[in-house]
Amino acid sequence: MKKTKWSLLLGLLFLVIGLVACGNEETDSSSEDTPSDNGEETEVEEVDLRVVTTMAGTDPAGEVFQEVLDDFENENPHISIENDSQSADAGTIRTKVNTDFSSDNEPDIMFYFNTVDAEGIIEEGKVVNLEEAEGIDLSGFNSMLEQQRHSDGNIYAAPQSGFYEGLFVNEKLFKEHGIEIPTTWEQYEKAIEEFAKTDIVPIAASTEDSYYVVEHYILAAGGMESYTLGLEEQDPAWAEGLENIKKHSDMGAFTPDAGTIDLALAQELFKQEQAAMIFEGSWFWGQLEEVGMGEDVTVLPMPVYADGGETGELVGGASQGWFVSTKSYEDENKKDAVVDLFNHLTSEETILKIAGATGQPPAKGELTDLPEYLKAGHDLVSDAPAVALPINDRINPEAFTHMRTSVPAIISGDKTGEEVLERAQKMAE
Amino acid sequence: MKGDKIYIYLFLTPAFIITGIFLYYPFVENILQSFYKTDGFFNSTFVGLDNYIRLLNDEIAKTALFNSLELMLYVTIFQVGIALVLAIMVDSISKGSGFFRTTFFFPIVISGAAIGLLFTLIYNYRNGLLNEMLVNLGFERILWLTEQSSLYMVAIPTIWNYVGFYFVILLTAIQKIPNDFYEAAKLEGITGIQKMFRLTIPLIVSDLKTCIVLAITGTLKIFELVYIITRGGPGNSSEVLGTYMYQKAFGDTAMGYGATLAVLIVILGLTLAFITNKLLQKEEVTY
Amino acid sequence: MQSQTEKLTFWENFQETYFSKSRIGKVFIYVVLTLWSMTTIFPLAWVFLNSFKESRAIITDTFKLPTDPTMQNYINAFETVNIGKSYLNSLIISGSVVLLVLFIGGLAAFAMARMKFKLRGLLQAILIASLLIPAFATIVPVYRMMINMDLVNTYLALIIPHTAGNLPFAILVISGYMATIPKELEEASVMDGCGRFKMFTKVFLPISLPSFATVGIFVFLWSYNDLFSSLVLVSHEKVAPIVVLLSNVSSQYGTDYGLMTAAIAMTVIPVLIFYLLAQKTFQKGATSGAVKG
Repeated sequence: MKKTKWSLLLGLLFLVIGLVACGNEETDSSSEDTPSDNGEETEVEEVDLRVVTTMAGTDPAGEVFQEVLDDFENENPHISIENDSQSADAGTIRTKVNTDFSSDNEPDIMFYFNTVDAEGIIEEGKVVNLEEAEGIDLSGFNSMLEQQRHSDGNIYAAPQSGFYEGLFVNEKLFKEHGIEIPTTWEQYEKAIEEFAKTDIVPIAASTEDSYYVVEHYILAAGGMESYTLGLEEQDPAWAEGLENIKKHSDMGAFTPDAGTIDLALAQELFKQEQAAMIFEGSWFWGQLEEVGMGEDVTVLPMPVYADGGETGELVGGASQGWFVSTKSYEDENKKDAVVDLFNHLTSEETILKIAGATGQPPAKGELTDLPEYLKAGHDLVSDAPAVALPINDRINPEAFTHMRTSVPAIISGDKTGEEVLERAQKMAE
Repeated sequence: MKGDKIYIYLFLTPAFIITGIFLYYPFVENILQSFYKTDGFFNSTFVGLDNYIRLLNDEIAKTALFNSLELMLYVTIFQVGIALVLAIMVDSISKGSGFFRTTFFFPIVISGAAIGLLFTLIYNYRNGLLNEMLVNLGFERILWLTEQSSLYMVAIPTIWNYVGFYFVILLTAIQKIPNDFYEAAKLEGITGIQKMFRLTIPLIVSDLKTCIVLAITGTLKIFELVYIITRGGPGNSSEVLGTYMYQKAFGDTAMGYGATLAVLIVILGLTLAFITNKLLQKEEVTY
Repeated sequence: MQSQTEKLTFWENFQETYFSKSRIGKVFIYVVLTLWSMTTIFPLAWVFLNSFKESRAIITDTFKLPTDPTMQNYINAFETVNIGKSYLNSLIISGSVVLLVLFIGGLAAFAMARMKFKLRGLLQAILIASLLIPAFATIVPVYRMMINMDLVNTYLALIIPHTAGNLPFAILVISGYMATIPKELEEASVMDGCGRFKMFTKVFLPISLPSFATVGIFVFLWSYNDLFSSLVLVSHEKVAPIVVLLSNVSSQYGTDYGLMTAAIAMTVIPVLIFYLLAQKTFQKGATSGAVKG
């Protein structure tokens, strides 16, 4: 019994290896793994594809994504897809993807960060320039597609949906305390001052994990023009932004333990209505809905006070996109299947389906039947005079880590904003 | 014993082949990487000793190093010390030893992530257990994790978490001491505390040595608990080599510098283990 | 062992009178042990109680008894992840690691502890060094090797590196234990005409069984709880151990603490069973051997 099973497996294995080797000398590991799974329905032209994404587990997009893949497999019985997705929170996905690409084991299609993280992969020519790829359909996208354009002028990734960051305020608390909703810098400072007198924490934040705080304070002090500069420009507005964090901390803007809590606990302060404001991204709505706070909360753009800046400018965009690996595209056996799957995944129908699960602004079409507060957020994006990706998506990771983890030291007065930025710039070199 | 040579090869080869390929060889690659400025994948430039020079001038690395050493001191003394006392106590009682053996083991089976969350919720400023108690008793809230206290606050769960580990190892060791030894000692009137210092401890010195080496090496690698409870903060005050290396290698994708920190960890641990070995060598007793 | 004839110090006399000979001594021991066990039971109780609460209550009312117990977390866990399959995967992987480590490590420990050879000191140092190698430092080369050997997403992809990673620990602990086994036993077995291999299986293995059990428990535990390597090497559902499935349980809206505590409760149970079984083994081993139990 066992023996026959093994010889059957071996036979299938050779069959598949033979098939792959006929077309191309390169064998793909995924094609050798799968006979044990789908051995029964071996057809002559069977193609195995491996897809890596960050939509996994109980991520609401994860289930929908698996459905999308199942639909595709049903329509194309000769294609089987291995869904090798892994939640991005786990922190190993970067290592895995980078090692895969540098070890000739790349996935056929992946949904990955089109940021500084993909730099090496793109420079090595491991992914396809989508605009010149035959059969790839890039029509129908909104401005998010243009945002994906790499500094070399090509587009390597097609967006799924976008996100935005902003100042989430608990309107109910503002009303109860008779404080004005902050649409200008002066009102913002006033709100901090007023809430500091109460038992409510003005801003829920982690000053160690201070991604959003750092970004928005720099945006406020410099406007979009300064925000989009590189570290090497040493724009004084950046230092001013960091110093403003200290100024507000001295006014009592944060909790005393802001230096050690993490983002999750900061969010918890806001969700327990112990804090009036928080800097967060559009994914935060999901959490607010879970605790039934959606209706009480409004998202505002960071009040910008810089000359030449304009309140309404946003941090956001689409930092993840669909990539096609060069190796699969150039493999004659796979090319058609890969192109088909790519077009399926980036069709308006799929994009809306996945965006519908997450509530994020889609890269194609528009979501209907949105609650008022989500709609307001989507409008924020469409009305924004300028949108730019978070700072940590484009500058050297070490340099940004230095900036954000130095915020507690800036607050305690041990370092100045200028010193921190100088050091960060050195790290980036 | 004659003819041992062949057995030495036979017995040691499988172990060293498998560790050689899957542990030492990767680490050699890691050492090579420490001479490059690299993200570990596509961009590598040979920079010679630059990473090591950077290490010498890195204030945070220095803080992390001293924090690790301080933590190691507490961990070695208290973890192994408490475990030894508990093991001797459990060995000396007849009723309920099974219960204690089982319960003492509990903290180890729960993942570091959960223990970290537990202590985060104990220390938390606004809603934490300690401050809730203070507020209920009519006191002001205290900020438990400050630059001065954070290392101690991390040391407490670290020590407590793994006492059970050394407890199990030491208890196993104590129980192998032949009964006649105790009877002989009894005849000579040696009991209680005396028995512990004159009989039990000398007889398990080699196991104690193993525990100390494990404590030293374990503390140098500590990562999860510190990362979850304080993230190395506030302001790097509880940064240890493990968290700093993780941040560099994975958070910041500076694999080259991360590799340099890994080399530091290994060299440091080896030196300390060597010193411990030398210090304890004379006291080794066999039956 | 030399007999001790020095005079007792005042402190030792004091200890004798008040702790060992008297009933107070026993009571004192039990009080200390009970206090410590309370601190160790607490987190486990915390996990179990919280697993019956809603996610938010775990943060807001974490140290209170569940007022409105819910099974929802367990239902979620069963619905979102294939618990049965991943338990089996964990068992296959960690079980194989334990067996391999004990077999290979036991032999090596025997050689290290009871045989004299030139390179022994050096090998000892290498072993200690390998305890210090962080998994972060080796994962990328190991993953590359697994890709080249086409083992990614097979059980072997995790079994091999876990075996390599845990061997030094096993060798150190077991050889530490073997080092103090009386010489007479070794000599007696030589008289009986035992070869080295027989000496290992007939004399040293049974006597050292307690330390094998101890090592087995920890190796199982580490292998079972190692999320980092598992995520890289065996992330695919068909081979993923339980920790990987549970890490996917955190949603994009931050960690679902309710699901997390339920998941921990479920992962802890097999480990505790394993521990209790292993404990039985080492008690038995100790009494059946030639040494005190």
